[in-house]
Amino acid sequence: MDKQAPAVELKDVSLIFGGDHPADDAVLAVHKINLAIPTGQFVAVVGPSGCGKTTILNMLAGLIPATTGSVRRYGSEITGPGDDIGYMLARAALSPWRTARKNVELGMEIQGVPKNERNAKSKELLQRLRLEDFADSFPSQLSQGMNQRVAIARTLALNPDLWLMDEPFGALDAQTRLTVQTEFIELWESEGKTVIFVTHDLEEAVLLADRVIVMTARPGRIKSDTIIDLPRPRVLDELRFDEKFKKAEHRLWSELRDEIV
Amino acid sequence: MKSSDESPREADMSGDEIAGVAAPISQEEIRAMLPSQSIWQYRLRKIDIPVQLGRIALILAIWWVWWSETIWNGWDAISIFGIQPLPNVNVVFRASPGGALDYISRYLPERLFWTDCWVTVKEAMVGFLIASVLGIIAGLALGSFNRLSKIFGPFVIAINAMPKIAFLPLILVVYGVGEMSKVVLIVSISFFIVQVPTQAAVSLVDPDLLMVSRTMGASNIQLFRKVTLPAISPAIIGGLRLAAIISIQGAIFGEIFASKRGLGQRLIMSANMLDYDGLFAMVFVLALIALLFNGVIGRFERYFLRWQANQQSSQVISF
Repeated sequence: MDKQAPAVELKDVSLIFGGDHPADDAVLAVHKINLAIPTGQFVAVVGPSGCGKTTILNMLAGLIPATTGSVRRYGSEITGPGDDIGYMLARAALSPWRTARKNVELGMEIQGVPKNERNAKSKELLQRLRLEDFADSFPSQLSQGMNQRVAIARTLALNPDLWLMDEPFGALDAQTRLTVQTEFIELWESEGKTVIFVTHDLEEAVLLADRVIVMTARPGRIKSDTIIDLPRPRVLDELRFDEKFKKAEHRLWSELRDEIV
Repeated sequence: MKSSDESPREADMSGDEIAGVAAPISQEEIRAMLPSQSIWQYRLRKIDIPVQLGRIALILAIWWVWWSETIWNGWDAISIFGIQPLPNVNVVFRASPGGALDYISRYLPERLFWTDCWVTVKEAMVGFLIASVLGIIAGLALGSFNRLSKIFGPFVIAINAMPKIAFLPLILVVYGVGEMSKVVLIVSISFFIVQVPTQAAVSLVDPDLLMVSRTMGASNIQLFRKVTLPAISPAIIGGLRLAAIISIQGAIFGEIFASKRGLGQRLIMSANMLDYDGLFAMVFVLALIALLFNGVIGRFERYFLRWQANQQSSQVISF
């Protein structure tokens, strides 16, 4: 592993679904993606639905191999799922038979972390996400926003080096989303890990990220790559009304609009 | 916080009086707002008197109809396309709750009655356990491995389609009229009742749960232990619940057909001697055994599925 190389690098990456049978349509999901992300950068990926955003995350997580091109982390090719990646979905996808605490500890159980260490870590994370009073509640007893926070804690429990997030707040209502976003960005600003954050919400992308990638409609290509030069730490509910923020969002919106038919 | 009996302000008004965070309201204060209610009022509401009265009335009605022999006298006036659903029953074939209770109290002290009970319970239990273990293993294997289900699937479906009871004469020839033949019959029926839902549940496990665990580095064995097994346990327990009842029915059917001992044998002997009080007594005893089986599985269910918010399914009777 080469710590000098980019944390994440895609070189001429294309991915084709289907086409096993000569008569089947082969679908080109993403086409010749080139992208290098330095360690500690927060990158948001926006684009119309079906443009291959999730596909890129799945390739980075090692769940599906690229058809052509190479996907690298710190200079070495990704061959399968690794344990230094935290993957978070739009659905909390918590195990209904586990309490909040046990859900947070799932990854540590898988990795064979000793029990007292697991307990200490889950306690700390639940506290940071203001869930300490609900540690022994089951997901069915918690609200959607709380469950999503449990999912954040679960993703971060293994202290992953790369956070892959697939519309993690997409299923939340507007107010809950702002609360969870605020908690999340505070967590991230204190950790400074590499994040690839897929969203369809441009406001969210500009609020949270250092850099926004706009993708084209299928086959997914990179349309634009913009650095968001807003100061940190960011106070989200103030920043939303900031002129600089509004200008950046507006410019990106005009690019994205062309791709949404 | 602003009270709403003042007129609303304009949206563009400068925020000169942004309200502070309200003080938390204590549990006592919240309770004080509720209408007062004693623990007895609460319990009374939980018992739900109309439901209990309805149940008691229904039991009394059944008892009375049976006891008063109205049911046996028939109702000739009702005739649907020439078929009488409530025909008059010959006095010889009649039975009464008192007669059934008499039969039970007569035979209860007898050792042979208990032997018969034990034979039936043993057949049902052994058959149920073997069928459950085999059914769960087969369901898991066929559900987890695509190739296995492609190879064995069509054969399993074909065998499941055959009426297993039709094999009983053959089973009796091969395994004899003893307990073994009943166990084999029960296994052949109950196996599928466990295997089918288990296999279906494996393919219905939430793919997001599997994916999340996989990205955290779970091996296939860990995926099975930490995701698949707990996710399918409600389906397995549902299958077991059904299989337990069916196993008792299988034991009885096998015993009625041909056997040395057992409650089914006792039942058919009573029937052959026109002792229909005995028949009803056996039905009553068998129902008790079935409830016992159900209760044991209910215990398991409550333990293994504590996490399910909806506990209704594990309720058998709630007087």
